[in-house]
Amino acid sequence: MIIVMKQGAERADVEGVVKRVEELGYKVHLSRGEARTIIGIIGADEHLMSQGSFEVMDGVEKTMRVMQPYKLASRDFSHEDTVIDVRGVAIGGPKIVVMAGPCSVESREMIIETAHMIKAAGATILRGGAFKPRSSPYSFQGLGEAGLRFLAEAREATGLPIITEVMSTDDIELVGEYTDIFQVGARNTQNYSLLKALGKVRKPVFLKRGISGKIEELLMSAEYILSGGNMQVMLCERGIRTYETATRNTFDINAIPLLKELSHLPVVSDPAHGTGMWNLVGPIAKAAVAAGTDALMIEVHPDPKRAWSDGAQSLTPEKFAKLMNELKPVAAAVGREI
Amino acid sequence: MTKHLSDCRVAVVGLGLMGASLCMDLTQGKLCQEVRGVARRTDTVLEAFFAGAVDLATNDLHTGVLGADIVILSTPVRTIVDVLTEIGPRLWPGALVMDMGSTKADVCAAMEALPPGIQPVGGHPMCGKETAGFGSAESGLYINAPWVLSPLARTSPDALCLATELAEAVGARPIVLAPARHDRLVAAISHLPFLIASALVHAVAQTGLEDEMVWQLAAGGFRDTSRVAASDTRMFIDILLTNREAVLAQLDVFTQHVGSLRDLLADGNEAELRAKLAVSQRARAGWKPRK
Repeated sequence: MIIVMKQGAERADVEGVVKRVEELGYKVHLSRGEARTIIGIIGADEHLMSQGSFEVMDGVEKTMRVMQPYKLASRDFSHEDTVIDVRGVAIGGPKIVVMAGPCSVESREMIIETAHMIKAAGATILRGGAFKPRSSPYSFQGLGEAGLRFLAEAREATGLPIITEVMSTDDIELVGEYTDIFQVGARNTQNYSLLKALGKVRKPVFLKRGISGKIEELLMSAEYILSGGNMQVMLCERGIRTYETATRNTFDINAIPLLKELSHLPVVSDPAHGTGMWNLVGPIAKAAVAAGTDALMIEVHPDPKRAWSDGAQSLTPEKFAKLMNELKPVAAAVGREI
Repeated sequence: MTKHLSDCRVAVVGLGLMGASLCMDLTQGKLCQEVRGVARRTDTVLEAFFAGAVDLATNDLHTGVLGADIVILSTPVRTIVDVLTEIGPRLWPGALVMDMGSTKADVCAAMEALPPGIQPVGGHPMCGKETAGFGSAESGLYINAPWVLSPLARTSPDALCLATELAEAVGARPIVLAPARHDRLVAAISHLPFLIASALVHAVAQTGLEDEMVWQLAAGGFRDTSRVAASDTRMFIDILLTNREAVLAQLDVFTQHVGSLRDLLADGNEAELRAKLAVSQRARAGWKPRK
């Protein structure tokens, strides 16, 4: 909660308010706004507002509620955008970063070939799943450690940093030996023990919004990682489940500018999962860039028809290269580069 | 990318003499982006805020250090150790953490345990006064003062550069010393004098019980030799307890010298007494205080 004092309020007025806040058992933050004193109250709930009757006190202009239960992820605590450096690639800066690659790593040759192709098209981070969270236990579960090794080889071959998913606390050490960014998938957004453990690592975490996750829940999940001491978190909009069944998910374009307003963390958009249809990926990627996304994650497969997973939403390398060109004027229109 | 002081948000925890004086220098000289002051007592928070010593004042440690590029701990030593443990997981990667504690071994050991990515530099500006608290703070306190910096093996060269820049920005003279060496040296020149001054005041007070006139006679000599006995007890208790071995070693050396002076006097050995006093007289005359 924030109490804004009147212009020219006396020191005694401020002291009066601060004393009242203390009586209620809270701590204070004093700062200066435009020619007036601002009193921030830490951890205050709605209760305090009515109990405190601050608005009738001398020198008080108004009180405002700060509803966010997340602190570290909140814009209030870092007005500057967080920029995450991944082997020289800055995520959250003026340049929009494109992470591309197949849904799953299928073989050594396949991931290295794809890495070269996406790099040629302008992507700067390679994605690929080695541990796959699948809706069915009978679906392909990923190559595991072999997949991680192939990703690392692709990094060696192309210089592209890599991102891959970590599904459980037990795998953090193993995945951490290879990856540059830990991805937390939509099914794990509220796996709090995994999030807590990732708060202790010192590598960036890419946190996807839950399938039915609210914006606030996503930020609270980020808070778990941040409060553990790992400040390198990026948030990913990847579509949410709605009553619409024509697309796999409904990409929530609102989330991008809203997350940028509420938080200082970089925002990534995943139009492949957001739509589930390769032919919608391009238009939604453009919309995401226009809406202010800091990065895109795009699934690219050398032969989507034969992909072991998510073929329907993957672009061919040719279509991906074409899309990269089409994104440039959109980025320029909103004062960014891609 | 090297960070400069002018790009940094600085949080100072503890607004006593040292912390508040530093805040004043940083704020008045506009040396950094933002100066935040964290104090335990709400009265100090209000005082620092209305004196214009800080841009932001709070009694909430966690949010006070949040997002700060440089965190400077200027509480008593044992509190510094507690605060380090508490704020460690909340600091941003790359944040520089410094302290102004009078002993370095315990503080540097606690700094070693900070999460990786945090940049610790132990420190001790040598400009204390026998007065404590926000009320005794003044701008310009650090001018010409030696400021000991104790980087750890894990500290990056950039972080030490930034710490040096900060010390120099307020007029101090940075000196890099290992923690153990610092502690041994300050035991001799700071902690021992405090105990001696304390013992001296006890001795005079005992005389004063028999004859109150002694206080009226006391002048320059007593004033200079007893000055530091008026220092903040809470601060010195922490110092003595965290530097016990070095202080005890110095006390032993001191006791030997007192004993030998006493013996010479008791024996009426004028020649040797004169010789011993001449040695210390020359050594003291040859030392010039910096300020």
